Amino acid sequence: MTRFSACSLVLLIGCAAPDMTPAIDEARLLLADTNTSLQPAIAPVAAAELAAAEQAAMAEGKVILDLAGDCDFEVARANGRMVSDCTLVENARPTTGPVNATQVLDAMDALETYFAALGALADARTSAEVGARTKALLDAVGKLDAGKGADGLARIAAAARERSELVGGVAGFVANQARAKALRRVVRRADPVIGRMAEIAAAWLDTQPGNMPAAQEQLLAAQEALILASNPAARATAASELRAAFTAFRKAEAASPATRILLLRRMHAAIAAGPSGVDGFEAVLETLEDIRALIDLAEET
Amino acid sequence: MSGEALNELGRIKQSQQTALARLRAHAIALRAVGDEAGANRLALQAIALSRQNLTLATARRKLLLREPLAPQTAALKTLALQAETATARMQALIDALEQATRLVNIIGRILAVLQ
Repeated sequence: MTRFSACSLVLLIGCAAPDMTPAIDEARLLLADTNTSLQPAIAPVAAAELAAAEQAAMAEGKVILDLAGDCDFEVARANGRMVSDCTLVENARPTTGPVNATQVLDAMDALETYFAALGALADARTSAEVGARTKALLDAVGKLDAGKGADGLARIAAAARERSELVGGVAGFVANQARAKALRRVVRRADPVIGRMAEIAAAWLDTQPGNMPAAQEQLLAAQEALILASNPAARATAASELRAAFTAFRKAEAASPATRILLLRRMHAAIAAGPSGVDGFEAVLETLEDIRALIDLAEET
Repeated sequence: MSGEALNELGRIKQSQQTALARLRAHAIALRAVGDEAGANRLALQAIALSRQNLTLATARRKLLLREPLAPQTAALKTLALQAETATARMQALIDALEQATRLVNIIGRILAVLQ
């Protein structure tokens, strides 16, 4: 017997690839929530960056816009499309050079696209559908016989009838394994990329107005003022300032897009570790708890 | 070189986090037994350490912001495309199986008419 037979065919069909869908769904929710708070804050900054870059490019005599695609409705109609393939290309977008709002927004877009693609790939229904379609095909072949066909055809039909359940199940299993393999490959390759991307984006976000470092500096200054206050009146003022600084600090923590992006990085690392392993499973649970803590803090403040 | 520096900064921050929590806990404990001066001294030490940490964090951010973000974004887009391609292949297989089933059904009907 081969090594493969250690898990019999019937058992094999029941062996499911690890389901990463809940972790991916959670990461997508976190990302959507981060984007909702991030977009209004940094989209104006990105617009200002674009305006400045365009002005500089125009001053150098450069053409800042191009049309891409056919941009020809006659060609589109002639080819059976009612809408032309036309996009506006902004040549002066500040996508290179030092990290800025434009690059952070691009990175967020790429993260959204990536997690959406991952969600589709992780959808186990596609594997089940392969199994069901394979069984349907064999069932159709099985019906070809009905005693009227040639002998060869009758034999094929009989074989198809006998094996439709088993082969359908195996096809579903094989499709599931192929899907899981592709998922693992993509996730493992993406993990170091997302790790670096999250660190750089978080570093930039921590330099923006309302950031965590500024809130922490104010908190420390307020505590220091209370400790060093020399009379009851000064102590009362300093205490009131420390309370306000503490509230602001907690609010900044709850709203910090940098914290959320770093949490997303941990979430992805846990997915990459694989929920089948004990370490990976624990990492997923820990990250889910952290996400819950962050959401609780956001609700409290 | 910059990667090593970042790792070293990460290690320093980790040990500082432990030290900070201990200092603040001891300060609270001393204040509970009436040692105001001792508690203040430890609390001020915690503040100084936390400020040092902020300085380190700023240095780390400066190092990170020297790196371009665009190549990481481009790499992630490529990987998203690979995931989409794998999903599309799976869907293509489902479509092919469906078409094959339809074809077999048609052949079955033709055979039934011919016999």
